[in-house]
Amino acid sequence: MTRETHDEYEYLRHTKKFPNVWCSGCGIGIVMAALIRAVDRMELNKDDVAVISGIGCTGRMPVYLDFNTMHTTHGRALAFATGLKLAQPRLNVIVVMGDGDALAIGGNHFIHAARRNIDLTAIVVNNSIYGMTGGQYSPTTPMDSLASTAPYGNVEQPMPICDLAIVAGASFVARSTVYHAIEMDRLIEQAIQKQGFSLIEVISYCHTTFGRINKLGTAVDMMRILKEKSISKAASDKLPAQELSGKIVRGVLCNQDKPEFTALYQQVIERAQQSESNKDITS
Amino acid sequence: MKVKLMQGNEAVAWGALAAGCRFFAGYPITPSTEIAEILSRELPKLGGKFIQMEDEIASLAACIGASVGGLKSMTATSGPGFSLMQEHIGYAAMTEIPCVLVNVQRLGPSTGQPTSVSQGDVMQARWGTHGDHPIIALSPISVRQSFDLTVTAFNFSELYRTPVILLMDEVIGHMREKVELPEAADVLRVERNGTSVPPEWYKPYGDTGSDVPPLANFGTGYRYHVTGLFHDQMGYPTQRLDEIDPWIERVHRKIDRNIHDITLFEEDGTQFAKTVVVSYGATARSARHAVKLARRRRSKVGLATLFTIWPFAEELVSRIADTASHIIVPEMNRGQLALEVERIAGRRKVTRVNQANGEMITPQMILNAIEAN
Amino acid sequence: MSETIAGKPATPEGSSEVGITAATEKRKGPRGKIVIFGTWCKGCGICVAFCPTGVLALDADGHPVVVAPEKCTACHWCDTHCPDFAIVVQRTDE
Repeated sequence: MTRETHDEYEYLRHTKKFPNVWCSGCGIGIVMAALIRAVDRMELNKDDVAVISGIGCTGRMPVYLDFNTMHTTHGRALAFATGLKLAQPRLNVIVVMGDGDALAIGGNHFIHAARRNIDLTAIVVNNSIYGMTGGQYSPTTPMDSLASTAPYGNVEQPMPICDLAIVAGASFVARSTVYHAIEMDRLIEQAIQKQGFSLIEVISYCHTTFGRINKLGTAVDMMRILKEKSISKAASDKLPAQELSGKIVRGVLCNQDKPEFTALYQQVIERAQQSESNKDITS
Repeated sequence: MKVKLMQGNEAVAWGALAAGCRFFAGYPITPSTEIAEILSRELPKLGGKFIQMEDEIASLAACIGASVGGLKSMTATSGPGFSLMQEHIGYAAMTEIPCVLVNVQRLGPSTGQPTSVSQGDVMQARWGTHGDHPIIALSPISVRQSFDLTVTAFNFSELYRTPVILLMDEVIGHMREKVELPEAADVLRVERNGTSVPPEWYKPYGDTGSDVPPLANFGTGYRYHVTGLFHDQMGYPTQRLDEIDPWIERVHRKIDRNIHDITLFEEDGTQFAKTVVVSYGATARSARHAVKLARRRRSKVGLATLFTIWPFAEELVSRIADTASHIIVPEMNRGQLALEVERIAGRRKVTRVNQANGEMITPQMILNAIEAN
Repeated sequence: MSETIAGKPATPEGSSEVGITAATEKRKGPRGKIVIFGTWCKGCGICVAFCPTGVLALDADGHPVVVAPEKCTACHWCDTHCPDFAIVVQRTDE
């Protein structure tokens, strides 16, 4: 078991410089550790795992991982991943993105990857801000919060990431937080195993930008907020809607079996080859 | 393959398959759509993959992802889509991932006239994406050549680990000519130069002396990092000048040192002619006819037809400029490749024959320029 | 000196209030040994703030040090929440 034998370190690139690039206390490193634990528990071969990212702080994750890794362009990681997955359907393709990368510039690709139900595992680290560029508001910044480009308060409704994925057609949708790291790796494992488009929204925080401008304190303080604001799906089901306002609901929100895109395309290939060989017979 | 009446776009599709293309991701756009439609039908028959992505940006991204996964990949588009693809052309150039991008040029700018021809994307093919990067762009003048240059495009992209643009135009794309295409088995294909060192020793951007690092496919036991950031030989992001400077030199050198193999062209009577026409694409058809007419009238005129647009055939044009006193450059734009000719030709007179309204430049227009001397 | 069977505290006579502190008191010594990789640690303080039994504290430079090793229950909260892979808990009771 990972935590006892400390196999996590075997999944980090030994030739890469550590400590990692993220700010002290950033939740992205916690997500990376959970991802490693999930892969380790599943005993996946490293050659069979690909991690693809977009641009932003979360985008800096793949380089640390000893898998097939790609750091692509802003918002387009799911499109690159679609090509790779079609070329090598046996690969476990994991796509890590921030909230701005996945839902703003990447919104269109997010919707279509879910719509196709292609067997990718998307992990969106949602810290409600554009951290890398200094704290501009993102599609998930709460109303009235301050940001460097919302000095008078944000007046845009935040995007419900999980709802969007479910409606667009994803097979498996779950949410966790970086406080709930132990639960997170189980969800990631489920997501990778699921045949179809899986989304894990991980609520994190950026104390460096969002936290500072909204006076929310240190990484420890913001971690504590996650603990206090979150509630399990099972518990939330028992509460009336008005009591859920401001709460982060954790757990599996959607888990359905639907036809997966690369499997369906394989059927297309069989049909095409069948009709071609029929033509040869009759001609 | 037997003799067929075939459309240029269709020849591109067959050329891609003959070159070993097994992945196409694209978005419909006039006048390139036939390429996508044909490949959607033919690729799965060969076990290849076709996908219509949600936009052109995603299309080229998917091609690059599939290429790293080991499949020769292609996309096809026209002006507006070509504009959208620029970021990923730069990404493919920076990460040195092979892919082929067909741009069937139509009249622009903007929506322009989807069913009319132009050669308006020549400079965009060179400099559309930001930053200094080399690029290869080829332009066929016939249906048969559309097949051949598509194969060449794939071969160049694997040989030099670079994106290659096939600069078609709407006339060549939609015209039909009689062709007899070679069997796929008879076509010369360059296969990916995989690495032959043990995985722990593999450097995805290491210099092996040829300036082109061998490319191992994802999922084959070689795990490495690909990024659009400036990177070192391991593919890790770097800000060190002693890693960035050599990379810049190597990536430009890999094209420059092979320029003789890359710049494809045809010369006809250019050696001692005082007047030479330099043309490409559909306009080369008019130029050929104009030169024929001029010679019937005893004009001593040469014709140079460029099949490689980028890198520019500097040596050829320089040589022509040594002996010719008048160089004519007809193009369906307001003078794009002419800028390169003028740069090289120095004090020689360069006449532009331009039209950028969707109509073809006629042989008469070029003949007028030849005889206006 | 009650013997315990993996995780279950024995219940000696008179100790009806068996809670977490009782469980750790019954244990002889810690369940886990903490290793901190100082070069990778950025001193965020997460491990110190959330350790359930107060094994860790911040030193003068803001970096974690083990101050109560005997209290470690090997719950692994710290090493699953360290963003920098800078702390590891090795189980010692097997």
